[in-house]
Amino acid sequence: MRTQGNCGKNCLDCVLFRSYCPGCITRVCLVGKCKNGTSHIGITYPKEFCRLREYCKAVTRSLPSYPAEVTPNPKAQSDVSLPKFVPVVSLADERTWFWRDVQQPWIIVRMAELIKNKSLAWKIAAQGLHDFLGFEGKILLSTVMEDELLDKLTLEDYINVITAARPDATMTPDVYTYLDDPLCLSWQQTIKSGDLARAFLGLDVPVVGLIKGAIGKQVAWSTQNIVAIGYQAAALPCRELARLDLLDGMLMGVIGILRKRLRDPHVLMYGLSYPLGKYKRELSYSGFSWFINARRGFYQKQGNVCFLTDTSVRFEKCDCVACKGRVALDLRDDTKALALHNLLQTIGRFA
Amino acid sequence: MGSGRRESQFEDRFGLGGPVDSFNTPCSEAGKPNQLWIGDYCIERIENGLALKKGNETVGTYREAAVLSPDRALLKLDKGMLLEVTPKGTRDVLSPPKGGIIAFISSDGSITYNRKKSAYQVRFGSKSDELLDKYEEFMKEVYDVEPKRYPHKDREHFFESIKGSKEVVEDLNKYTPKATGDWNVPFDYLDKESARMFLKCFISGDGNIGYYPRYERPSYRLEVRFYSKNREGLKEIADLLDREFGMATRLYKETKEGVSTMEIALQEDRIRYVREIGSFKKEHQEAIDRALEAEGLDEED
Repeated sequence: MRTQGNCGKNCLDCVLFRSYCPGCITRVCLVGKCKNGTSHIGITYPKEFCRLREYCKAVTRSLPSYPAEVTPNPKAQSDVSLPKFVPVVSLADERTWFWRDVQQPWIIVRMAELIKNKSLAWKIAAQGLHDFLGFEGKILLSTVMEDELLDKLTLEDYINVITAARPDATMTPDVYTYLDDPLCLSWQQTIKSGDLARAFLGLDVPVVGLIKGAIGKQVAWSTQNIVAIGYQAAALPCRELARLDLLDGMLMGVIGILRKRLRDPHVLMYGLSYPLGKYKRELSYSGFSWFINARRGFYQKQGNVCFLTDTSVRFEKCDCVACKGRVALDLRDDTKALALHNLLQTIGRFA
Repeated sequence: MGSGRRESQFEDRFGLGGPVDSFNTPCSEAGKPNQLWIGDYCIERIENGLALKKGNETVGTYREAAVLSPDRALLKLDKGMLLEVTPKGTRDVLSPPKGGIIAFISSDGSITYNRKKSAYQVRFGSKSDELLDKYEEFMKEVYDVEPKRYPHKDREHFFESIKGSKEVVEDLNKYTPKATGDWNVPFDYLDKESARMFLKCFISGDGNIGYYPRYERPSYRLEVRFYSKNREGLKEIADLLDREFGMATRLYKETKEGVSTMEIALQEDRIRYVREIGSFKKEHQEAIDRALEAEGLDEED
């Protein structure tokens, strides 16, 4: 074990060292890189604006505190049985409201929209999510949001939003755990997510535990914490992990822990719109790429994404409920139909 | 959020995060935390973004920065504008997408601006899907509008991307005189990045990049040309190429139809042009690939 971090911090001063943390094992730490003469614009450069200043030994010392003991709570509600694919929809964009054409048992809406758009939040507080959307299925409220919003929100804010929106299930609060942050920061955030997850026990809606962590040890701790609290279902934000080819390793650890401790483990892969081909029983998926692709003018066909003008699809007829016999090029000005077509193609991949 | 790498998250969301050499600039000697001094100006991180101050006076508050460095900062304004802060002072500059929109309109587009008839329309036409896609992407990014595409009545395979919007037209009218006559280069609002995008979009619409065999010789010639009926405009483009990129040009005589041609004069500048600026047009990109792949190109001329 290394007792000296790349940043110059002495790991022996940290309470988590050995019992939880393996010490500085990452070679990409931005503070470590800065010490070696490479800074990153907007993060550690210009030095006056360094966002990681607090975690750099030259300026101050900031270490995570010991995580609180967790005792299982029989009150924990986590009775969420999700289908293989759960579409994410936008509360502010009606083009994503597909339920008049296609029936789905669950959808996911994002809390970030309610935080950013106050008038939308008031409307939803007055009507409730179901009446506002006119959706009769179940709604899972996602807490995954931008870092700057996460820093502002308190536990009361979360509870107020959830109580006002009245979803059928929610996730435990999100935190940020980056691979290239100093480990003491990602540990602080992981432990914070554990504390907030415990605080969500008071809610009267089912809760899905959000698994966070930058390294395997943190992910394992986060998973164990969720199970120890008593949550039966978990969600893993995996868009960035998949992009960095780290998903397989992380997922193997998560599933391993869940299989040992739960009879029927279930993980929602948040931000992944294609099946992985393994852990078929345990995994369900959710994503918004069906609409993002449509908004950018992309047409999905059997797992491929192409331009509407692509010669392989341009004049090809499709008989789905969105296209109704039209060729791909005819969907150029009809984003809603294109999005619905993409959604049907995505759902089809999970059938 | 907050999985993966902070560096890539910053690049995706703000276009920042790139590495810089900061060797021998220790933290302890840096100024107060969250304050960056550029000459007399101080940029301060506040709760909702950044505040620009001069002395005790707050010049403005901004949500994001596009560039932050000890000698220059670009703060994001609305409608695709940026505030450039340097030790010399501040000025508004066009963001690269907005520079691109103005270049597309200058080359193959038009602006209708008529207060009496309440007619406000921006259009850009092309036979190339990739140019229309790029123009629409920029319009979405800058103005959050989605122009509609219509086939041209008389020209085969020619589509026009049209948006009727008073707000967009009035804004564009501040930076280009296209609505009242010939276009020009908005020198006052261009920095190197937006100048690069302006040239890239203009040549995509009204220019040519070709790689042709020489007459009765076994070698090839790279050609980078701009065409326009607006001879003054071409002179301004030549001036821009010289000012920002140090490239020499030559302007040919007008044809009978009134079209002028301006060409980058030296082979080394043409190679630099295709490498540093390029074009969005598929045919041009193919020619660039051919030219750059060809052996011994750098030694020619």
